[in-house]
Amino acid sequence: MVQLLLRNAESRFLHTGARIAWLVLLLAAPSWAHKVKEKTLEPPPPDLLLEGGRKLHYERSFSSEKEVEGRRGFFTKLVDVVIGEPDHPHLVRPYSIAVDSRGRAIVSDPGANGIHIFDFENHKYKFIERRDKDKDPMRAPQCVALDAQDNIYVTDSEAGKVFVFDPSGKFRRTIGSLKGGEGYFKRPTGIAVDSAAQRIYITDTLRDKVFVLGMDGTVLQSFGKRGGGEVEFNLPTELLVHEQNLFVVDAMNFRVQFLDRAGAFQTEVGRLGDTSGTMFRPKGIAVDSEGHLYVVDGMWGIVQVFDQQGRLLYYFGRRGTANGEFQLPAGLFIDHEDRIFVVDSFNRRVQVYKYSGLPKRAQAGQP
Amino acid sequence: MRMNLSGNVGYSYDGAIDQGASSHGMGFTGNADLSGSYYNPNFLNFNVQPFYNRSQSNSIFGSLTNTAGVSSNVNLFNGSHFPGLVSYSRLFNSTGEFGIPGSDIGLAQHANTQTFGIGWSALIPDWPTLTANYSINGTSTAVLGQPGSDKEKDKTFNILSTYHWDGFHMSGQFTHRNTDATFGQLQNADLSPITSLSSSNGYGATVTHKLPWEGGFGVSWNHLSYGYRYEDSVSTGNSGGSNTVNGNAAFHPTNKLGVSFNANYNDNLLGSVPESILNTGAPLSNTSLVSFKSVFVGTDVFYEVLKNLSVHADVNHNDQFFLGQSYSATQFGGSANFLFEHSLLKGLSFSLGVVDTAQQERNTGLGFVGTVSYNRKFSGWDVDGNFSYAQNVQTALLLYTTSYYSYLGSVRHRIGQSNFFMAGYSGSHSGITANSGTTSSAERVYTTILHRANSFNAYYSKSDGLAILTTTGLVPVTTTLPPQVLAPNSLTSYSSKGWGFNVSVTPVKRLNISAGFAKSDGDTIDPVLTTRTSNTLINAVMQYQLRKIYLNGGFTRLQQSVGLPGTSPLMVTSYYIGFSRWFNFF
Repeated sequence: MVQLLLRNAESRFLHTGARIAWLVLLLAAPSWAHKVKEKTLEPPPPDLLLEGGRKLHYERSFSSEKEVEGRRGFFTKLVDVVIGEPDHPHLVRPYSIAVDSRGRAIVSDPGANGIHIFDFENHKYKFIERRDKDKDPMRAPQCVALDAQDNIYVTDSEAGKVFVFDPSGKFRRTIGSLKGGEGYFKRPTGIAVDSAAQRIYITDTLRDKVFVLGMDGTVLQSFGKRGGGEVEFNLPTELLVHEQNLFVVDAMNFRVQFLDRAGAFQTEVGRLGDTSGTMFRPKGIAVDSEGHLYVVDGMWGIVQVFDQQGRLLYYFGRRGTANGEFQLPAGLFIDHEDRIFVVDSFNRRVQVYKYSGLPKRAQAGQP
Repeated sequence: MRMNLSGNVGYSYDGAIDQGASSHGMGFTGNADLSGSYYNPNFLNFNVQPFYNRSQSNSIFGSLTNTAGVSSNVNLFNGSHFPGLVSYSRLFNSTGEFGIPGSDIGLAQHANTQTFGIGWSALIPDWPTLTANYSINGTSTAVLGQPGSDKEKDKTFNILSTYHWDGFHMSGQFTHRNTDATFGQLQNADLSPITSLSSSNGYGATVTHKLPWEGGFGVSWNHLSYGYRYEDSVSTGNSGGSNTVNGNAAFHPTNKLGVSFNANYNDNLLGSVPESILNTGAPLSNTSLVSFKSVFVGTDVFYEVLKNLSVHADVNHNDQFFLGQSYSATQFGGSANFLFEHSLLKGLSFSLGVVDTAQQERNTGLGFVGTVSYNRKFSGWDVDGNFSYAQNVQTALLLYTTSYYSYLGSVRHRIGQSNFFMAGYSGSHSGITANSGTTSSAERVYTTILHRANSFNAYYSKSDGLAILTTTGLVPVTTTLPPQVLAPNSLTSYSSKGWGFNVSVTPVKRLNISAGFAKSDGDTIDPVLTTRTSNTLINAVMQYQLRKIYLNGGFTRLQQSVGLPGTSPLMVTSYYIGFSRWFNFF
């Protein structure tokens, strides 16, 4: 005989009201307890006081849509208590970052197979993905760059293409897509867009080359070959256009090469080592308002700062999980207010610092 | 003390129509996951997972029974040289399957189970390791619609030691098993349940060492003693044992050449077979317990002639003493494997082998083994094919040979990123060459279609052969096992066929609806009784997630009959609707 554990219906209905009341209490209590736990915050690292009154101040970190949200009203909080907070999309394995003219942080995330857009000013968040598209699916978004109109350029190291999205995140086109859907590049990683010169610079890591493209995607020039000499690379990754210079991270030569826009060698910074000023796994690079070059070292979990002559000025960070510490940091971006964004990849977050340099007059030597 | 607790708490309405009588009610459902540690996770960590009224989410049979239970384990001193483990689980009224070969869903049954285990190790550097485990399992199962039930109680004690010294890897082990089973489900016409009581003790030792030319050698010795009593209409029982000594050495002078030598002595050829059979609760034949000595020596050579061509040759000599007779045989075998790289035939490979067996009285004739495989992609279509054939292949006993053939064909096709299609057909036929009535066959046709988060599966299968009865269902007998090994009254002949399909759709984000239909019919014939099994299952499940709230609904309709042809089927309909909320309590 079938044994069904169905209880006596009459006795159940008598206590239904009490049960529901108990259930509501049960629903609410753990949520409040959880809130109290979340409010225990870690202390920030102390400010780094530098020569000449310069200062590096730790501002905050962000890792999910939750940090973008504005103040939550009473009704919203009540809904959160009863049915739970929504599942906020979280950074999975962030790699690269760029900040547009509206202050939005655009973060590439190969782990989530998409691009996160954090708009802190307007309390909006958007996630761009194309994994399920039949035509031009995005497989492994790597580095991200922006043009003057805030269009988003993303290299896909697996698909061998560059994806272009408009500022709202709508897909516009691909660059380097061949007939049949294959990608032109072998492993495109670093990307920089020079809107003034109407040029796009892309590193093809497996080819040890830098490609210079027009804005329509036409290849205008390429330079570089495997080697350790000038304009020779061993797995180049990220690159950056700054004033008249093109900085290329020559990863397995453990250096950053300074080239001019035509690809001619200028100078280089870095050498292999495990002491200050040397590099082991150079990743993201950026330049602040004083022209200092910031280089992330993924293995040591630090950011080193060099002057234009390649001398180490200072460094910050160390390996760890606390605020101000990094685990496999990758991307780096400095906005026009000298706010430094470091993608702390393995800790699944972006940490933000504020650099306070010398006033412009002091830089010019005026009292 | 550190603890984390999360889980679901829910409330649901459920009802059932059981043989025309309806009932319904409401109640709480829930499950929890409590994990934590004391002092340090390496000192003591634990995990406890209780659940209540949760069968709707963990069974293909849906809401037929409301399961409750708990599973837990505690790890002690993980970071030390003396780690230990204690585990316990108990399930009340869980829905399960009584397996019927050839049927995807089996017969619906409910079960009560309880398991307890304890283990401890001593892992002192440079000393022999020592690991001891003891477990007790108790299960009571009943097929829906049947008055009888099966009960099984297992006790296992195992102790293992390993030691590495000067390149020698040594291990020794002892295992005691005790299995008591009562079968009452499919033997109702016998009026009395079948009882099987068995126990075994096994111990052994192994030594291995590396040799030059990428080689190695190994020597092992195992001893097994067992006893059993099997009671149905008649009572049988016996005890026995076996000793097995194995030695082997292998060399790989080059990447293309491999040579191995094997020697084996058994004072009961079926050395490890009795233990695995006794553990299912089935009895052994008396004939398998008589003196059954065997001496085997052999050598095997492999050479890769070309990149896509390899050859293999072996010579074996075997002496066996069985049923008062001595048998002797020398086998010469060889095979060639070839992979086509021609553009037209690319993806085609084949392997051909012959075995010539000469016994002391006669030559039993050529044995033949062949395999043809094909794998190729045609503009997005991935095609696989395989055909294997064996004729007069030796079984464990020199008296018997077996023949079989099997085939498989499948196609896979991906359309874009989100559409996938697969279909296939497979089958196998085999049997002991010298014995009629020992053949078995199985055929299956299946297809799967995926579109984004939606899927469709369908199948048709049928099979027949010989099986032995266990508390978890009928287990097909491997055709390389001679029929004399098993007691005739434990063998059940079966034939069954079934078909079904399942559809799963996600019309909007976070809403999943799946529905399935499955039907199977079978006949099992043991020496005295013909039992016809038939079941039809319709199952539908819906879940919608709203943040941490889950809205659940389900419907199940089962029609199942077990017994003599013409037995009235059990008919039960069950449904539920409710919600649950996930919490991260602390």
